[in-house]
Amino acid sequence: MLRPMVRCSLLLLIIILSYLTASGQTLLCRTGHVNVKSSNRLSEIEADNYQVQSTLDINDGSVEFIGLTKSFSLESGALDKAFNSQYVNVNGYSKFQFNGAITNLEEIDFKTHGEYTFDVKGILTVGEYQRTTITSGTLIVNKDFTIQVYSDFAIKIEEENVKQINTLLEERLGSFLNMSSLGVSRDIEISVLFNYK
Amino acid sequence: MRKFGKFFIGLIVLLSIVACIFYFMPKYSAESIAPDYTMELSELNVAFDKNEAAASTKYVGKVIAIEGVIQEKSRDQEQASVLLLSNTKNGQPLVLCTMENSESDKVSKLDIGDNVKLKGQCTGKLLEVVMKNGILLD
Repeated sequence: MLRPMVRCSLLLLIIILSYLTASGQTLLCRTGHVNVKSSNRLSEIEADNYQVQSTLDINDGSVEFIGLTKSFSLESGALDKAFNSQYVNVNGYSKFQFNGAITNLEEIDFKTHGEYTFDVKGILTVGEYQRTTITSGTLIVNKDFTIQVYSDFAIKIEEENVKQINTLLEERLGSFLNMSSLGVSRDIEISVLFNYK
Repeated sequence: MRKFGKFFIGLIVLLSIVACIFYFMPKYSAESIAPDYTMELSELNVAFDKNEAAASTKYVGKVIAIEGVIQEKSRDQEQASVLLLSNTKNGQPLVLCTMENSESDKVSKLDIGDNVKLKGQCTGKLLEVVMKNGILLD
């Protein structure tokens, strides 16, 4: 009578332990940094978001990050004030998200302190727009086994999308602004940095 | 011709000054803004969980005053203080608030488990409701 109970208990213990081990492999970063740069005919527009949340699963290499549009602050004080005013609504574009996976996981040893180069492929989603993004970056396994990941990449958006973004900016910021001069260009540089623990 | 040259230089100087004022103008701060709403942490969370689109329309961009227990205290990559708040010391995190740099000294005196009142601009919800430009209230 006791044996089946012991077996059941052992089985339960193994299930709980394996669950805890597996769930312990997903690392979290709550305050990741995304920097976005774009330029127009007049100047460069730069924005930073320090509230990007990200997870990294070191078992299967899946990486996700998600951020809020309103968490961005702009380099230019005047633009920052305008962007943070209650009159700029970001409905429909309130979040951006990346879902992907490290494609050279076999080259990274998460148990050994060091610096590794990683390749990642995934989908970057902003509002209703989705873009397959392939890039590489640096992954540092620190001595305390926390992980730092950073990557710089550029995306070139289609002329049609630039027009849509600039039309949107004109609608949300006011038609008195000339978006052919002040809007975004096709080239957008993005830098990301996450500290996982 | 000389008059035209003077005018042109004057125009460039004027435009440079305007550009500098535009660029170096102080950024958004919640310090002088009266809260649009005063809410319980759980009330704010439930609003986003029930209907995120409606809650975003109502609260995103608005300054909200809240009160909660500090569950985690950290710094972001810009070295700004970040507070993770809950209803209780070991409860589920409900609000993440990045504080304004002017609050650093006050925040450094706070400990995990302390009860705080603050206001900040709501930016939406990820794992928790996210706020920025946090200012401690007395």
